[in-house]
Amino acid sequence: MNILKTDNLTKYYGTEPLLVKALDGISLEIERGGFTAIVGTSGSGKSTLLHMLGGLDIPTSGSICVDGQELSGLGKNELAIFRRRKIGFIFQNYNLMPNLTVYDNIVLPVELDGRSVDKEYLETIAGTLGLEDKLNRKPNKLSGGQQQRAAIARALVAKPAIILADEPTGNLDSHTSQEVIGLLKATGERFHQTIVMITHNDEIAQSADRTIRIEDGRIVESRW
Amino acid sequence: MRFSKYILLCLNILLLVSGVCIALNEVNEDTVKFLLILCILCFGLVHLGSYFYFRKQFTDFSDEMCYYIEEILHGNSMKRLQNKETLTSKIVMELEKVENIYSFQLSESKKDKKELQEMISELTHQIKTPASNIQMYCEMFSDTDISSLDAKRFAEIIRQQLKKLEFLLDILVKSSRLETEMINLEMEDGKIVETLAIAVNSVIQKAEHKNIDISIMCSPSIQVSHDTKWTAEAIENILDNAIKYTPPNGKILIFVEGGEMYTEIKVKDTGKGIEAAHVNDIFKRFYREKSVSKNEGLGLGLYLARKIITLQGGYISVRSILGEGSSFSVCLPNRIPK
Repeated sequence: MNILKTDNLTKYYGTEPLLVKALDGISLEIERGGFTAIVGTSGSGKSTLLHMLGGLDIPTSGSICVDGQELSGLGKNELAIFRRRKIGFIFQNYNLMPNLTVYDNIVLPVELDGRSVDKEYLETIAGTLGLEDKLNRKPNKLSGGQQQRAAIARALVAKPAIILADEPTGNLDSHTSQEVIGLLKATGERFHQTIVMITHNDEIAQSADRTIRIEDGRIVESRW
Repeated sequence: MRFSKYILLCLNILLLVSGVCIALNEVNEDTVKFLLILCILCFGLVHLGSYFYFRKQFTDFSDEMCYYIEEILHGNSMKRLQNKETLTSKIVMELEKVENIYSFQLSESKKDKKELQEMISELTHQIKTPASNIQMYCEMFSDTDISSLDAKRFAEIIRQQLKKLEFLLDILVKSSRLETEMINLEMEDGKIVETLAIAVNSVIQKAEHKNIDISIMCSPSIQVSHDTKWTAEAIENILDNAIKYTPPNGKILIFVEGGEMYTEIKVKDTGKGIEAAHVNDIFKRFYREKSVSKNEGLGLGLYLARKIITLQGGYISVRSILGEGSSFSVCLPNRIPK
């Protein structure tokens, strides 16, 4: 069953003759529970695609269907709720709130939704990610790798069906990168989440179930 | 909790009755008395009314939820209720998520079952060949006029076939024990170098046979919480695989490095490498590369290795360049996950 589906997705910026085609007719289907890597050179449109899949950006044309829901059919508020409940985003630059502790950062998406935090689950995640003793610190007191893991914990804690990760290892050394990817895979498998991850590191892409290569806004290769 | 609503009701009535009594006894003027009683009765009615009103709201809400649960169970998506800031929407979306996870698990287990059936048919096929060979040579033995030279040859063939059978059964026993999770992993702080020694010792003969050099680079002080016996088994399977795909006079290097969260055991060979298209297949059950499908094996070794490592909270990754060799990384967590 496909959890993500795009049909002839395009995103253009500007007008002729300065038209920039960030995405130029992307049609793809991603299966539930899979671990997909999107690779491509910088400027190829990978991040735009990920933002589209997460409803953070609006396409010029074409449709995006996430978990049976057509994104264009949602209003602004509905889209925000949809993102909060269905999607976990891991940003390349972490996007942690500097004035909140790590714990408050992690539970933010759940508390925004007015739900109570599943304490047991949070402890499991923090344990797996090695963050238990760092929950009361501010993000700026953590190393890059630890901040990245806090961002991963935040994406996981609401138990979203889909995790979209934009170069989750972009600022990490190769060894820590492997660790983070291993963790993502393990938690994804454990909680049956669909993971879509952008990377420009072929080595990391190799550990995915499926790789999609994008060049100039088009899919040039898709293999399992 | 069960009686709290009755207590609340009784208290309410008591309050009303006592109020009415006080009004009757203490107040002398008739109109004031009448008005006071009317007020108290109105107050009581409003109270009772609001009690029943909120109770009705609750039962309506639970009825509504029950209806949605039925719908979700039947696989009907509640589109119009999604992504609203209401309680119903919140609960319906949570329920749909749970339903999704469970139906996914169901389909996974169906897939597993299918795989298992394929395994059984593959296995019967693999066992049948040596078994029928043995039977055939046994029949030839019973022939009275065979020369002693022939007898020797037949015995050798039977021995080979038995070895093949034993090998298959050994793998089968191990994998069935892992599948049914009959093994209890005994996680103990142990030196990785000792586990590596066990693994290398059990494949050293095969390596020497092909004149492959195995070297270990591991600080003897590196300790990880792991199950020595099964981890050695996993490493042995990886080494076995490396020896199988490395041409004679090749090299295998085992390199151990401690990370912040994982300890990595890297097994690097100078073998033929894995085609990029098959890198994800090698850990699948019964996957065997076409060029070696004649050799003995079920395609279970790496599958077992991954299973053993995953059970311990670790993971295996592989990097490979065709023609230059492969490098398997076994990563074990430095602490036991809960």
